Amino acid sequence: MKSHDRDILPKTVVNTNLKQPMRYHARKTPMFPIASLVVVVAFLLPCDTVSATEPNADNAIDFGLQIRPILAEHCFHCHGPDAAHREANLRLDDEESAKSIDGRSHGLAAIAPSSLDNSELWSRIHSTDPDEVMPPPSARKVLTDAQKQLLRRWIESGATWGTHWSLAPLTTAPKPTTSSNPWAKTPIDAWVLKGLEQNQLQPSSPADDYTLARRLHLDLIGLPPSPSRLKLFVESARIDREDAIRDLVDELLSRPAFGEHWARLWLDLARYADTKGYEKDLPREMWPYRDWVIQAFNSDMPFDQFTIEQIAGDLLENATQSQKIATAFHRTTLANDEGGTDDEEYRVSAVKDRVDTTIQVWMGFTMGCAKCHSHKYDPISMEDYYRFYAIFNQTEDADRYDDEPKFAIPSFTQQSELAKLINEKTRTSESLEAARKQVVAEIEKFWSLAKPTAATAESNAPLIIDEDLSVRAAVDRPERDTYVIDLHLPAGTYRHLRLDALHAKANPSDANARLGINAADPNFVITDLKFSLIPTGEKSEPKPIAIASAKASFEQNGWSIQGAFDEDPKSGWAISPRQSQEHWGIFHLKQPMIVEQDSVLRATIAQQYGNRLLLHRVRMHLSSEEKSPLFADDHPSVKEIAVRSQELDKRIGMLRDSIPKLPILKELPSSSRRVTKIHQRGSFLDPGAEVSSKLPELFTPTLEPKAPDRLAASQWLVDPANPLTPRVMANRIWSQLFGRGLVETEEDFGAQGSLPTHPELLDWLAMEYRDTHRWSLKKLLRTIVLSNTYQQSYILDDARRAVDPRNDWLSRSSRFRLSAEVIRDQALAISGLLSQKLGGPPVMPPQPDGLWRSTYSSAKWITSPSEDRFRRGIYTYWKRTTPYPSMETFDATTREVCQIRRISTNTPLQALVTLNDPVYVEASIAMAIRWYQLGSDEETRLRNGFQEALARPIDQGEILQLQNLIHRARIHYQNHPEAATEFLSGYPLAIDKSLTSVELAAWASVTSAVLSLDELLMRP
Amino acid sequence: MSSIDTDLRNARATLLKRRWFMKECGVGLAGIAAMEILSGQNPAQSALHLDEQKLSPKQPHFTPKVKRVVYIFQAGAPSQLELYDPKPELAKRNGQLPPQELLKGYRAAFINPNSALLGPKYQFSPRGQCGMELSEILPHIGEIADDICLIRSMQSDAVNHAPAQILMNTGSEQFGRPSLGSWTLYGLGSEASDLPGFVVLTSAKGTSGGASNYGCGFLPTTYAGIPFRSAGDPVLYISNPKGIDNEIQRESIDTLSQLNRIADEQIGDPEIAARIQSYELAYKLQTSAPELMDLASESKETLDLYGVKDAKESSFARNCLLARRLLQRGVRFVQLFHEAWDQHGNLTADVKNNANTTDKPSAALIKDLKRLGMLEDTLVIWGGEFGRTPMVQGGNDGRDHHNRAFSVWMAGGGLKKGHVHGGSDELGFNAVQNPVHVHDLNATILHLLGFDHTKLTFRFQGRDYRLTDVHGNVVQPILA
Repeated sequence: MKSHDRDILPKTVVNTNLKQPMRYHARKTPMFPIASLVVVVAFLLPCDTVSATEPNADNAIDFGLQIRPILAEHCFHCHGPDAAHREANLRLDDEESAKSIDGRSHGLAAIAPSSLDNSELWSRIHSTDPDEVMPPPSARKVLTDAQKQLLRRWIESGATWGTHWSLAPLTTAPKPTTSSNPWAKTPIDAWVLKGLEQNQLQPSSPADDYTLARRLHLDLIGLPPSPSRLKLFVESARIDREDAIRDLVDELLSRPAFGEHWARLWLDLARYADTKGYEKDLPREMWPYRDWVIQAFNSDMPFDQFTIEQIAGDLLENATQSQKIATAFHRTTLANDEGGTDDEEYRVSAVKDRVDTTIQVWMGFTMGCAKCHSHKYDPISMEDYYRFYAIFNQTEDADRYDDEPKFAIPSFTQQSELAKLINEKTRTSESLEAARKQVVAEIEKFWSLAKPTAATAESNAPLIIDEDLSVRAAVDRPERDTYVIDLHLPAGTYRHLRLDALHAKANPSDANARLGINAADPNFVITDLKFSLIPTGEKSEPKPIAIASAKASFEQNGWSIQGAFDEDPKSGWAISPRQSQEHWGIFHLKQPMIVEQDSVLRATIAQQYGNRLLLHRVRMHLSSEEKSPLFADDHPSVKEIAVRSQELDKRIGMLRDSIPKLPILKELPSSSRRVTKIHQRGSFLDPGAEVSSKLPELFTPTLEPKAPDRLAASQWLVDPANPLTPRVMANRIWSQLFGRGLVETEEDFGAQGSLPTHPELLDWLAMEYRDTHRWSLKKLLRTIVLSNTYQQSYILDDARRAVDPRNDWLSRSSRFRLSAEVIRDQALAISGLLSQKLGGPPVMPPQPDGLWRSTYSSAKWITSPSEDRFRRGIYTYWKRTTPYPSMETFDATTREVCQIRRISTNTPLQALVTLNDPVYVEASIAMAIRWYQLGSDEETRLRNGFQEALARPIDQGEILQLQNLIHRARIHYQNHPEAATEFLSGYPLAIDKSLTSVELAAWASVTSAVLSLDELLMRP
Repeated sequence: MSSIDTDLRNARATLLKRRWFMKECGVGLAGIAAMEILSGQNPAQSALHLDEQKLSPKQPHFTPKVKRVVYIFQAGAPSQLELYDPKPELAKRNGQLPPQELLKGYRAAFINPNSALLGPKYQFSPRGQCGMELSEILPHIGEIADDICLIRSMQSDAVNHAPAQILMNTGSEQFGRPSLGSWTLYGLGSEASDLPGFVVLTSAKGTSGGASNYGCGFLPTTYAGIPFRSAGDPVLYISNPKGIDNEIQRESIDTLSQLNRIADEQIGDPEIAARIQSYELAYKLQTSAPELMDLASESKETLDLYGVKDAKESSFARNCLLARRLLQRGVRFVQLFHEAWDQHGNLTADVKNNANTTDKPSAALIKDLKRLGMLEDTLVIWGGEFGRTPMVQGGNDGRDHHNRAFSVWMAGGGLKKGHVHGGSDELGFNAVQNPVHVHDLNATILHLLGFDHTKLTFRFQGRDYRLTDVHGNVVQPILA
C-alpha cells in the first residue's frame, strides 16, 4: 500500500521556467536572470498588495496596520521622533502636530480630518513642483497609487489616529465568517482559511502519516522518529488518527529531548557561547546556564517566570541557586582580555549589549540606534535609551579578567567530596595545631631573646623599646621608612636570627591590635633586611653579616621572604591576606657569627614599598643551634601532619578549580552605585547629562515603579499591559513551526519591520499563550500542531506556486531547511550513534586539526572520547572566533551578539560536509552496518534501512537507484579491496563479522548518499 | 541505467544548463536592484517598494573602476614610522618628551603617553619617478612606487587589535556586521564558477579579530569569506574520505542527484533543484581547489618573483601568488591576513624581519598583475588596523598602538599612481593634512567597485545597514 504523501497527491510536471518561484530562489543567492524577474515582479505585485496592509478592505481603515506604515516609511525620516533631524517642525508620528495649523506656512494642517482640500499632505504628495512634492525627490521614496488612495480614504473618513500596530493592545477579533467550512477546525484554521479565501486559495490536503510523524518529531524534539514509534503511530492512526496524533504530541512534549531542541533557539537569542570573545577568546564556563535553559523548557516554566529569573533572578527575595544561574543570560556578553584594553570601555559595551538584547528579544524593537541619536522611526529617544541603560548599569561585573562575580555550582559528587575533604582538613589542622603546640616549647629553648639597645628610623618618627624587649613603631609615619635597631649581642656563636612581626595597638585605648601601621591594610613589606656586627669598643666599621637562606611563617603570593635579602629593592616579604596573625622570619647565616666579646648586632629593616605598609612591632631572637629543627613544622612529629595538611590543601584547591563557576549578575551595593550619563554620539568618553533610571514609554504599564531596577524591568517585560512580548513570542514560536513568522521580520516589530500577514491570528495566538495557557510553551505548541493548518501536505502545485509562491497564506505546509544542530543530530540518530546523555560540560566532536588559532590563547580542541563524540549538537563547544565548522556551514552563527533568526542558505560547502566530514562518514558506516542487519537480502535491507532514515517507505524508483549504486560500488571495491580497508580504518565501530569490508564499504556509499538527500535536510 | 532514467537525466541536464546560464549571467550590477526586491527582507512592504527600485539606493550609479580586490591585511599594526612615513624631526627629538598639547585626551593601550619620543630606526629615500619616500627595508615596494597610491593620514577610532581590526573590516567596533568582502560579494556577486567568491588566506598567527574579520554578519552566509587553509585540505572537507576515489564519489553524487530529482518531480520545491546544483558545484570545487593550490604550473621565474621558496609550504609569498591565481579564476575578493606586526618591543629587528617576509611578495603581486594586464581593473590594498606611537615603549626599541596617524597604500584601477595623499605632523603623531578615516577608506573602496557607499545597504532589524554606518567620504583626490 502506498500511503505516503508523495503518492496520494497529484504530481507536478516540471516543464517551465515558472516552475521555480524565483523569488524564493533568489533569497539564497544574488545570481538570477533578469528576464524572469519581470515575471516574478508581475505576479508578486497583486499578491503582496492584497496583504495585511489591507486586512479589512471593506471595513474601516486600521491606522496602525495601514496608514502609519506608509507615513513611517515615507515621512518619519524628516517628520518623525528624531528632533535633531526634524523638518518644518512637523511630526507625522504625532497626532497633535500632524493636525495642527500652528506655524504651518499655508495655514493648513498637514492632515485635516475629513477634508482633502484642507490637508497640506494631500496636495504635497500630488505636487509636480520638485520643491513642493513630498516625499522630496532626494529621499528617493515614491508613494504608489494604492498608498495614495489609502491616505485619501483615511483622511476622508476622519483621519482617526492610533498607535503603531504592534504597540496597540491585544484585541480579540470576532471569529471570521468563513468558519462554516469544516476545515476551520480551530481558530487558527479559521483565520488562515479567511486569508486563503481572500486569495482564492484552498488549503492543501492533510499530510500523510509518515510525513506528519517526521514533522512532529523534528519540530518538537529535533530528532527523527524511531522505527518503533513510527510503526506505532502509523498503526494507531489507522484506528483513530486524531487520537494517535494527540498521543504522539503529548509524548514528544514530555521527552527530555524537547528541551534540548527548543533551548537552541533561546541560546541564539542569549548569545550563548563557551568562550568570552574578542582577540583571546578565552574559555568561560557558561554551560550550567545552558542546562538551566534546557531544564526550563522541559519543565515548561511559564514564560513570565522564565523572563524574570533571567533578567533579575538575583534580585528576587531569597533567590535560589537556580534563579541566580538564570541571570547568566546577561553574562554571556563578550569580554575583552586583550592587553592594553580599558575595562570600562568593554564593560559599557557589555551593558549596552544587554539593553539592546533585552529589547530585541522581548519587545522585538531595536534600541541600538538610540545609543547615538534619537530613533528615526520608533518612539525611542536617546534619553529613553540611557534611562533604560541606567537600570542595567548597576551590576558588579566590569570586564575583569576573572569574569567575577561568579557563582560556584558543584555537582552532587563534587559537593560531597568537597565536604569530606574540608572535614578532614579541619581535623588535620586541629591535630597540627596540637602537635605544633607540643613542640613549640621545645623549640623555643634554642632561641634567646635579643635585647634592643637603640632603635631609630630614617623618618625620625619614634620607635619605642617596650618592656617586653620588642620595638614598637609609632603610627604617625610617612609612606616609606627604614628601621635601624641595635641589639645587644653577648659573646657566643650564632647561626640563626629570627624576626618576629607582632601585633600592637596604636594607643592603649585601641580595641584591636594590628600587625601593620596602616589601618586600612595592616600588611607590611620588608623590601630589604641587612644585619651587621658592630664590635664594641673599637672604631672599626660595621661588618655585614651574610644571609644564606630564610624561611617564613607565611609568604604572600609574589612576595617571598627571599625578596627581603636579594638586593633587589623592588622585591620584598609581605604576608597578605594573613594580616590577622603574627609572623616570623628565620634567617640562616652563611657563616657562623663568632662573637668573642659582647657586641652590637644592627638590624636595618628597609620598608620602601609605600602606602605605609610598615611593621608595627618587631622583636628579634638569636640562636646558635646546629642540628635541631628551629621551627615546629620541621619537627618529625609535626612534619608528617603538616605534609598531610598541605596535600589536603592541594586536593581541595584542585577540586575547587574543577567546580564550574558561572558568571552571574549581581547588583552593586547601594554605597557604590554608578552614576549614568548620556554618552554623547554614543561615546562613553563623552559623557553628557546625568540621567536616572526609567522604563521606555512604549505602553502604559499596570504598575509603574518610581525608580525601576532590573526586577522592575523584568516585570515590565511581562506586564499584562505589554502587547509586544506576547506578540513577539507567539510569532517566534510560530516561525519555528512554519519556517517564517506571521511577522516575517521577527527581529523588528517597529515601523520599519514587516506587517503581520494574519494580524488577528497573531493576536489570538498571543492571548492564547499569555492568558489561556498562562505562558505555557508546551500548551501553545500543542494548540498549533493540532490545527489543520499545521498538518497540511507540503506539496507545491502550479496554482499555489502562482498565487502563493512564498506560502504567505499558508496554503500548504512550508518545507524548510533543518537547523545545523538538527541535521547533525538526525545523522547521528538514524545511524544509531546518538548519545542520550543530558547536560554537562560542552563536548568536542571531531573537527579538522589546526582550526583553533586564536592569537593569544593556548586553548586546544581535544576530541572528546567515546560517547561524548556523539552528543547532540547543543552540547558542542562553541568558540566564538572559531565556531564548530560544519554547524557554521549550516548557518549557525558566532553567537557574539543576539541572533533573532538564522537565515538559511544552500551552498556547496554544505554538500562537502554531508559527503566528507568524518562525523558524517562515521555515521554512514554505522548506518551501513545497521542496514545490513535489517534483512537477509539486499532489497529488504534497502527497504528497511531507508524507512529508518527517511521515516517513510521507499519508492520502487528509489530502490532501483540505490540498487544500481550498491551494485557499482560493490564492483568498484571488489576491484579495489584495499580502498575498502582504507575507507573503514580509523572508525572504531563494532563491525558484524559476516560483513566483509568490501560489502560494508559498498553499503556505506549508499548510506552516504542517503545522508546527503535533500529530503533528509528539510523539514517536511 | 534504465532508459526512463536516461531520458529524465537528459531533460534535467537541459534544465540545469539553463540554470547555470542564468546563474552565471545573472551576476552583475544590473542584478542588484532585483536582488533587493527579491531578497525577502521586507516582504510585506516590497510591493510598495517596487516602483522605487529604479531609484533604490542599492543600485550602483556608475561603472566600476575595478572588478576584483586583494586586501593584504597586515594585522598587528605595522609601524608607519619605520616603513612609510619619514620623520626626520622625530629622529632629531629622539629621547625628548612629546609636546604636552598633543597628549590631551590621548588614549594609548599600554604606555604612559608622556613617554620619550623614539626616532625612526631606518632610513628613507626617494623611490621611482615619483620620488615617493620609502624605507630602506622595503626595497621591492620601492620598485613599484610609481604604481601605488600611498595614504599617510589614516585614522581609526579603536586602539586595541580586535576592535580595530573589525572596524577596519566591517566598519564597526561591534561584532555582527558584514565584512567588506561580504558587502562586495553581496553587491557584485562572483564570476568564479567553481570557487567561492570571497576567499581568505592566512599566514603568521591567527588574527585578533577572528572570523568576524571576514564574516557575513547579518547577511546570508553565502556572502561569508571562505578561509582556504594552507596545510591539508584548502577548503574544509574538500577531500574525499580516505579510500574514496573520484569515481565512487561521482557514483554517489549521481545517485544522490537522481534521488533528489525524483523528489523534485513529486514535491515541486525549487529548493531541491538548488540543492542538486550545490552538489555539482561541490564536486567541481573538489577538483578546482586542489588545482588552485598546486603551483606546479607556475614557472620558476614566477616563483622567484614572489620569493616562493617551497611551493608546498605555507607562506605569505605563496599566499600572494595564490591570490593572483584566485583572481584569474574569477574570485571577486581575496583577503590575505598576516598578523605579525605588533612590535611593542624588539622593534628594530622584528619590523625588518616582517618587511623581509612581506616586501618582495607584495611588490611581486603588483608586478605580476601588471604583467598580466589585470592591474588596471584590480584593486590591491596593503595596510593594518592602526599605526604605532612616535613615543617609545619599554627601553628604546618598541612602539605602542597609535590610531591618530598611520599609513595604507592601494594600487590598481581608478587610482592615482605614484601618489602620496595626506600627511602627519612632523612627529608622526596626528594626521594633519587630509585625514582619511577608516570609513573614508571603505567608502573609497566601494566607490572604486562602482558603489555609492551610502546606497549599498541591507535592511536588518529595521535599519538599512551599510559598511560605512553613517560616516565616510570618498577620498576624491586619490582617484585618477
